Amino acid sequence: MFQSVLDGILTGAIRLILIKADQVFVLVLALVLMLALHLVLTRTTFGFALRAVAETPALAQVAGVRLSTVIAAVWIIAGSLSAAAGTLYALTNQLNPMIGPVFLLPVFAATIVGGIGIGSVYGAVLGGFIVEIASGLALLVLPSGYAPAMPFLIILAVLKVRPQGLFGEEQR
Amino acid sequence: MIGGLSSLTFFLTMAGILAIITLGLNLQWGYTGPVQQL
Repeated sequence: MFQSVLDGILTGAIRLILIKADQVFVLVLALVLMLALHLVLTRTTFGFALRAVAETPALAQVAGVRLSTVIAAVWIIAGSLSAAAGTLYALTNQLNPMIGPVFLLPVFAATIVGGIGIGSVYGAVLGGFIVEIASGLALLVLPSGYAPAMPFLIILAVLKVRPQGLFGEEQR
Repeated sequence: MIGGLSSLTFFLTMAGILAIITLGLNLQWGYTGPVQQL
């Protein structure tokens, strides 16, 4: 009884705010991918090898990590993530040949906001959310033509205030 | 209100997609060594 009432409320609420099934799928899959990457990086031998290569490539090589294999694997993972993101984008938006430049600047901004290096995986995710939501909120106060400038402003602000990014380590 | 929540959902969806691409670029930059070797 309670369950059916709860289901009814949830369904009604979901219908009320017009969440499409595709959007729920995108959000859930995004979270799953992030969690999977986090587990790979922190709990597996490959993840340790990856972090060793990021820290000191020469030392990792001495310790028996095959550098070329790890780097190739990272490229494959990064390409797969981009492919997944492209597929998810196609689920919720219309594809066209010019979507590459649309994503280029926000992605650079998000990466810079999050910081680069070990431990900044969470920063990358947070950076993505910050840049997209800031661009969306900018539409409330700025004409839509100025929205593409938001990533530039975010890059400038982050480089001025915290050059290493939110989760990046300070270079000495 | 309803329009606002729908917009928020749309932006969250796009932010999730952007976060995944950012994760890929972050891996390439940070975990293959080029930034550390600069």
